[in-house]
Amino acid sequence: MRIDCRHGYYEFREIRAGEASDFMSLFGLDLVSKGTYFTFAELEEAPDFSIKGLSILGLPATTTFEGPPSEVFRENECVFDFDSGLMKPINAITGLAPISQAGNYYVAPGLLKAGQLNASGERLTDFQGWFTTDTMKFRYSGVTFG
Amino acid sequence: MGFVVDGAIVLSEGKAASQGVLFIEGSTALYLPSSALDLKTSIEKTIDVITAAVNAFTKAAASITAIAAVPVGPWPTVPTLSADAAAITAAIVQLNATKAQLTTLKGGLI
Repeated sequence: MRIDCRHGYYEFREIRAGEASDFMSLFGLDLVSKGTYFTFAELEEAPDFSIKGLSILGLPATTTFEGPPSEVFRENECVFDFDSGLMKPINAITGLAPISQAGNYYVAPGLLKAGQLNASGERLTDFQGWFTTDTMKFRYSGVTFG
Repeated sequence: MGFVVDGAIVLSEGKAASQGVLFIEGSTALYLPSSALDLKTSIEKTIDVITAAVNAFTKAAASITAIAAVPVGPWPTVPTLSADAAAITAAIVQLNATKAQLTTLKGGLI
């Protein structure tokens, strides 16, 4: 399964049939179909605009903006925290990204979370990842901190 | 509805409260007040004024008709007011026709 995270908005795409169901069973996270991809159930109604002061999935927006959910998240400096199931300001995410390099890709023991820090204090914003039930491992490329 | 959008460009010269449509593209917000809603309000107020005028004229016409109906006796002749009452009645008819047209116009607005 391929996992794309852009500014704290997650998209899951099956490479083989049943991967979404397996992922949900393994990690206890609810995914819902949203056209060409799956996403977290809490992000099913992610808006394509924000109005300052009004709610983005329960979090007050800090700016008025229109665009895809990932860009709305970016402009409002917020991300989805799949551990709590809540939208949070990116600066409220704690912990280091448990990522290490393995050849020409990166590995981590679990699903990376947007907002996690690197050693330089920068925040994880984007990544492309893959998860296979064969190996039960997460591999990542294109990891972006900023 | 009922919230303030900071930095929105208002496409109107008016400064009073209004209803309209908010367009957002990227970080640009444009607010277009609905003139149709303002016009609808103006038409409703005009209809109300016409209704009040019709009611007043109706009462005046009835009063004039009652005065004109006073029997003629040894006292001085009462002026003939039926023509004045007819003119008021004709005005009432015209006002009601205008009111009907405005009601139709209001119904055609968004």
